[in-house]
Amino acid sequence: MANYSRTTPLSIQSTYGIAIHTSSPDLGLAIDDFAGDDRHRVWQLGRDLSTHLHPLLSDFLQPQSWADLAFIAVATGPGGFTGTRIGVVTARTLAQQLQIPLFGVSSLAAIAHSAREGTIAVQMPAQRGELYAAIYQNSSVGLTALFADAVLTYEAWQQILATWNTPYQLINAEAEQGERVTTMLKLAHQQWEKGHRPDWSEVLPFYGQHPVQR
Amino acid sequence: MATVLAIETSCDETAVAIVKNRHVMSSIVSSQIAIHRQYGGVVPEVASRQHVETVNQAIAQSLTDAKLDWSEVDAIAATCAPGLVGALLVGLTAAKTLALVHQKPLIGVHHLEGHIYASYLTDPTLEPPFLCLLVSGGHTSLIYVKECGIYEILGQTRDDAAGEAFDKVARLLNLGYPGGPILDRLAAEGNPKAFPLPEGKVSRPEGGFHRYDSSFSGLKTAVLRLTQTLQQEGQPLPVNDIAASFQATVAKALTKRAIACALDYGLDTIVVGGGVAANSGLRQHLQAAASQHNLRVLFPPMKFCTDNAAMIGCAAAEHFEKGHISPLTLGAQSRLPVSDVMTLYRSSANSHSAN
Repeated sequence: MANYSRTTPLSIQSTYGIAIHTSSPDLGLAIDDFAGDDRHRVWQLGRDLSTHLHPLLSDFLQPQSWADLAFIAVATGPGGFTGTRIGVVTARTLAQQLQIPLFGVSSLAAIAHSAREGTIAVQMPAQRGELYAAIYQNSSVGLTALFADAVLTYEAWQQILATWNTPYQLINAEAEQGERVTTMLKLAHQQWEKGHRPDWSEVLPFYGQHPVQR
Repeated sequence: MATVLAIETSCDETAVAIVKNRHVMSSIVSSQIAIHRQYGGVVPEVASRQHVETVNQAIAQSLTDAKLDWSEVDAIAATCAPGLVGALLVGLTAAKTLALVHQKPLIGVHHLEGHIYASYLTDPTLEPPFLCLLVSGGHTSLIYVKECGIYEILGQTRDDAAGEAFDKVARLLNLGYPGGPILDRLAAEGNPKAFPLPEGKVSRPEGGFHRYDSSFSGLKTAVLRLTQTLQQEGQPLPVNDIAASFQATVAKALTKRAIACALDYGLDTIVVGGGVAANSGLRQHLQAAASQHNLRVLFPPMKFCTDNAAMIGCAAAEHFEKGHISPLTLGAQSRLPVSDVMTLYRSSANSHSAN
């Protein structure tokens, strides 16, 4: 296996988490040691994501190094298939090579956790006239999925909302979500604090739809 | 002696290999054929998704099989053109990440150049110049190989690729996917002279026919008409004879053009690359014709005829030795002539690369 070498043991110095959000047309990167040293940045890349991601990631990481990372978070979608895949492949490969945990974070969850506390319903257009949708219970200490990320017709979603028995806030996902990268990192850190250490192999994009209409 | 870890994801094979110059230290190929068979062909988005699921495990396996660690790898390579862009991006993204985290040079490789280099795995002493007949599901070309990175396309198909014609004929005969191996197997039991089929000549504006270009769409239509006629007559389809006649026509067309091209350009060696290089009809016809003209023909090992990463690593190792390095801004391209291979490498020292 990889011989990636660290200058110091992971438990002593590797304190940073890094997050990569590529599920929408912009790129969001965030890094945080959860002790006051944090930064994030968003780039409007569109179709240039694949050519610019790695140089930007390399520059963004500095002055930290790969050995400073304790975990990685990546947006797993829903969102653009190709963009999400580029982020997920990058994150899976980094986590595999650095031998650190990888947290896959739903784009809808990041939106919900950015909202006020309470029940949050999030919807996002999908292909073929359908919707990506989810309902979360949001609080300052965490997020709970009440209705997990799914693809459904507009009518089916309306029916779910009509029969929902508690008040909720409905949010339309914005087209560009790079700024949600900080919330993603926060959600991943909450899981990290609870002792979760997911392996990179568990994290795959959430597509919701099959490319061949059946 | 460069050691390269190479990734190939241009279509429906997830492949990773480690090559030390022209010696294969490990080669992992995870085929998606069974997944795409239900759709009758490759579905690009399905291919991309499958690559994501398998590429990282293949990377780990390639290192294990080669008994190497990263300190012994000199560079990371990936196919970056031509191919399905979504599929290419998976391998290229993984390769860039490896290059970044392990501080190794990145080498983008043209898929067709990889097929040329598959023959170096057959004969490590092979050196240019020579002629490459590249025949696959996406390409049918006669390439003058002058030196590493310097190629001239002398002939190509004007419509369907040879492998594509095999797939389409197999589909119209309801034989399944991929068509090449199935037709090859059936052709062995059939009469190649049972049905005369058109070779598919390409007219030149000034008159006569192009000596090196080929066309297979007319041949495919001729097979369709033949089957329709036979079905209208109420006869059971002589599938073996149709397969043998079709395969012999393709093999003769390719052989005729390759031999003419080699003789015209004074090249004494023809190397064959691509999935159709595995076809027994082509092997027999070309070997027989070449020996009549004192030409040498090299076919890659069967396992390196279809898409694999060993051939990509072999090409990358030579580029690395020549100082050809790609920037981390390298993109994936669905189309790129093999004559433009050198555009994949940085032209100035200021380009952003992994080291």
